[in-house]
Amino acid sequence: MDQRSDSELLTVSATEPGAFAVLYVRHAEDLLRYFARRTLDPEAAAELTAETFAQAFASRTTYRDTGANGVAWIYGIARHQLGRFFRSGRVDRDARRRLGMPERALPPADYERIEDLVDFAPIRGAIEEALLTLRQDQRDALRLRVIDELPYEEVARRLACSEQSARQRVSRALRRLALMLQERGLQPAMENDT
Amino acid sequence: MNTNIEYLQQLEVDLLEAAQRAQDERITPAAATPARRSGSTWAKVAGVAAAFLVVAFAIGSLGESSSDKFQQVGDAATGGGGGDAGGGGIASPAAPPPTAAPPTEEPGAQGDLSKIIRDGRIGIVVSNGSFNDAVGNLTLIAERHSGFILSSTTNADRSGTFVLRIPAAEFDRARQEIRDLGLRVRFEQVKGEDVTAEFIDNRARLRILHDRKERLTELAEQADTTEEILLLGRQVDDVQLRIEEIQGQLRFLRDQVAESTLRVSIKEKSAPEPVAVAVVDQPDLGSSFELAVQGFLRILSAVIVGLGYLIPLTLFGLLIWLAFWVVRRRRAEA
Repeated sequence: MDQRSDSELLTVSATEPGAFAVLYVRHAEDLLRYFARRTLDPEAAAELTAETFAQAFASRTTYRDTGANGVAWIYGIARHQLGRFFRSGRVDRDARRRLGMPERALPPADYERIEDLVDFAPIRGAIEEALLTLRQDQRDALRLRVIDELPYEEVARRLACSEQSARQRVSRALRRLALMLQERGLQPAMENDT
Repeated sequence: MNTNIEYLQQLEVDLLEAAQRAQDERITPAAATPARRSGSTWAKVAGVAAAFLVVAFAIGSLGESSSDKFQQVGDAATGGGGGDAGGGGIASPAAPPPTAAPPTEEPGAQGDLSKIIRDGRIGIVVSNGSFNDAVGNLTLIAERHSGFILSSTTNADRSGTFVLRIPAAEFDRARQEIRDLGLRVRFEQVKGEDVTAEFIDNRARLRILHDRKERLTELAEQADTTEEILLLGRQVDDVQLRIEEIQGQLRFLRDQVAESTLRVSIKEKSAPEPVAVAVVDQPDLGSSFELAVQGFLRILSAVIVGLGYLIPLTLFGLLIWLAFWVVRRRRAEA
């Protein structure tokens, strides 16, 4: 296991790109959780994670070790990406495109795994209120999945649609919900995320 | 990687490959920094803006070309004391002296408030050998409508330009008759300039000045000392001077409104196009600079005209694009 600090890894990665992968392994899941708790959307969270690391990799030579933890620099990029996402409703792809990284869809099994990273308990009440403003199909999917905590297989069966379609409805509904909660000042994430 | 999330595992592979490429191709990381991207983005924006301006200039040039042609001819006819291009100026036999002074503006007089100065340009083509006949007919038309030829320029008795002054009430009829002189009409333009506001302002100022003059005159009559009489007399003179200035402006406006200017270009069918050439007899830095400034202003003017066409079209296009984008986005979200 690499013993170098995050700051050292970032600094070294300018001339030794492979060192950045160590940084990724250390922080990828935490960053994904950070995004999932804020966007409530597995797709958006995964994409934001990818774009943030791509951006950090592309900009690694601009990193200056000022004594602070190097991961804070990555979270600075993450906050920037998140802000852009909340403003535009979509995730940038610029950095990944410049690095020639392929466009990847979120594997079906990952939806539930990423949702597991989010603790819905503290925001369940707010979600129920915001649910009323969603479209009917998305509301039904979200209610079954988040309120009733049913597996996607069961959600799809009850809504008479494919499991993939059920996932997408929940994903879209969560994204809208996150935006609404953000607008109302109800941050779904917890303070100690980072 | 110690995670059960497949996406993160794939992402790790993608990042490792990107790192490998960076290593293999010896790409300096700076090549992918935001600053570099920002530079290329600015280059793109600058390129698009330059293309936009070039298109605007092209459109503006096209839009102005017809009026430019006429302008060149008209300028040749009227500019700089009327330098004759070859055939010599034609003295208008029908030219009445345009000096009949209209009656002095009566304060408070009410008339038609609408004051429009009308101006027109027309170019006609006549059959070969009939230029002089056409000029004679043009003179007759001017006479018949109580107008006159203010200036003229001819070129080898095959083409020429004429500036007519026609009473406004006869303007349209005269124009129609001039149209009928030719085999075909090359171009035609009619403009109207509304000077009503200027006219009303001047009349209001005149009324105020008349009142002031009247009061000053009364005061002067009651003045006791020489000093007072001289002071008030000077003030009356000043007011009178201003009254006369405004009366002059009103007279000029009234003349402009009463008589329209019609620039007529007549050309035989096979006569060459009249071209105005900027001649610099004794080239010097001053004239070169002046020509350069004029050229620049013409380009700028063409760009501005072109932008007048392009901006609404671009906005329209953007609206359509936005509508499509919104529809696509909604479908994608559904």
